Amino acid sequence: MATETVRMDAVKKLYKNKRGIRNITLDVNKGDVLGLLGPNGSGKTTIMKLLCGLIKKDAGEVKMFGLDAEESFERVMRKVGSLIEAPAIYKKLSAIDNLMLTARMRGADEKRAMQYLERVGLLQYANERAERFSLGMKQRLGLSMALVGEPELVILDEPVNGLDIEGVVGVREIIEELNKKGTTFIISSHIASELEKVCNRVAVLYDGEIAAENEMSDIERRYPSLEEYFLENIRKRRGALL
Amino acid sequence: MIALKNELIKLFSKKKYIVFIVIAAAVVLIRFLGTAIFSGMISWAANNGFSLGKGMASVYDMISFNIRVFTPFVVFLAVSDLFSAEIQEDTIKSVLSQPVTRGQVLAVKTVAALIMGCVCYFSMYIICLIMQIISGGGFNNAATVLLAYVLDIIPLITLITMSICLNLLIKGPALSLLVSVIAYLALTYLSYYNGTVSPFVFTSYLEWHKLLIGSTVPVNVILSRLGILAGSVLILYSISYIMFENTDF
Repeated sequence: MATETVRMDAVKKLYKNKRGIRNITLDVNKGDVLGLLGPNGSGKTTIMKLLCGLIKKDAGEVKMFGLDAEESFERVMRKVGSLIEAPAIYKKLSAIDNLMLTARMRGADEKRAMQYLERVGLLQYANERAERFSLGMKQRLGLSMALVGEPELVILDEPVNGLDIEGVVGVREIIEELNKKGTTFIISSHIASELEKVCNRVAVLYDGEIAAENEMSDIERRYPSLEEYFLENIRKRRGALL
Repeated sequence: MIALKNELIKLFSKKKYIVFIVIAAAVVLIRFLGTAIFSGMISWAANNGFSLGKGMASVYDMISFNIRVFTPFVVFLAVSDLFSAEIQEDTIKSVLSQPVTRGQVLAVKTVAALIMGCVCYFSMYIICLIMQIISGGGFNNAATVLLAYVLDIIPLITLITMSICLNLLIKGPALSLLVSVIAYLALTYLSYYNGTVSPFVFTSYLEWHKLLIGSTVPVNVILSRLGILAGSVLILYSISYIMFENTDF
């Protein structure tokens, strides 16, 4: 039987501009690599921010590792690593100092931090100030910050943003390697081809709601590509809304 | 403690605080040199020859400037770096997605701002003491003035909570800093020029140590002023907590 890592039940979060998410019900099991696919403004980042405690829900229930995500925030967040939107990096600090800010909070020492810098290809820049980093290097540093605590659940929002081809392949390899060890992933992207390479399940979001959700193996059997699956569901939903 | 260490690492990585200490040292030096040269000229005018006044510099001299001008600006700057700047640069996300509650984050950032304030504040004391020693005054009153410096930390906490509150209300570090300074100036004006309001304004009690000057300790006055300071901290901190707890980042 699959163990539930995340359970969102009828979750609603609307911003002042009335955008956000409505009636989101979503289960993520241990070992899943769930892809959130949707156009800009469809609610992908809102779901991820909710799971990381950066925003508070208006209604519904969010359980993570069997615990209420808001009530047991500290316990839950010990098991969660995240990279939301642009990586949160302190420009005046070096790469290793930035990484150590997260590592210390999660009981990891400098040796382990260095291992993760090496894993994302930044070891030679460990003592260089982050303000000199390119977008791709910042993204890789952000990824190492999400992973350094060896979390059970990793939430990655557009993880390949700004990465070169080698970087994109590197991120994919890291996800596959950690997933084999049992790490659960929730990954968002608006690029279908990226998600279909790593995900075992995909949820398509449109206008703050889940338009469709399915196993990747089923999508592959019934559609020529994830892109086709996405477009069909988006058009269906758009037609229903018109 | 780990979260506090992180906040301090972030603050101390900014060189501007060292620049502030250097500027403060320059202010102290100019002030002492000015006094010494002035007394030397008086001595020359009295036909005693030009001599720089020995023992002119006192460790007590700069305490008012320190607690009323220098340290408030440093803590406003630190609070602006810890709150507004982090919110604007989006680095607050990395703090809030760690296994610590928002209440703990707020508390830790408050303590970090206080520590930064204290570092600059006591640096000024050390600079003044060095000047006193150089001018031949030795360690005269050094311990008593140190006690005065320690006592003046109490009202500093109120300034920090006021600034945090403003930083959570106003977007942008520069604007938050400016509004903190303006609010402080306005409250200081009230505490000096409005006799009706001044007993209830916390900026009236920044030089806390002055309460202890004299032969008897005014226990009732100290308690009532402590009440006003504690009340101000409680109100401002509670407002900050509610805002911080309920803001979406």
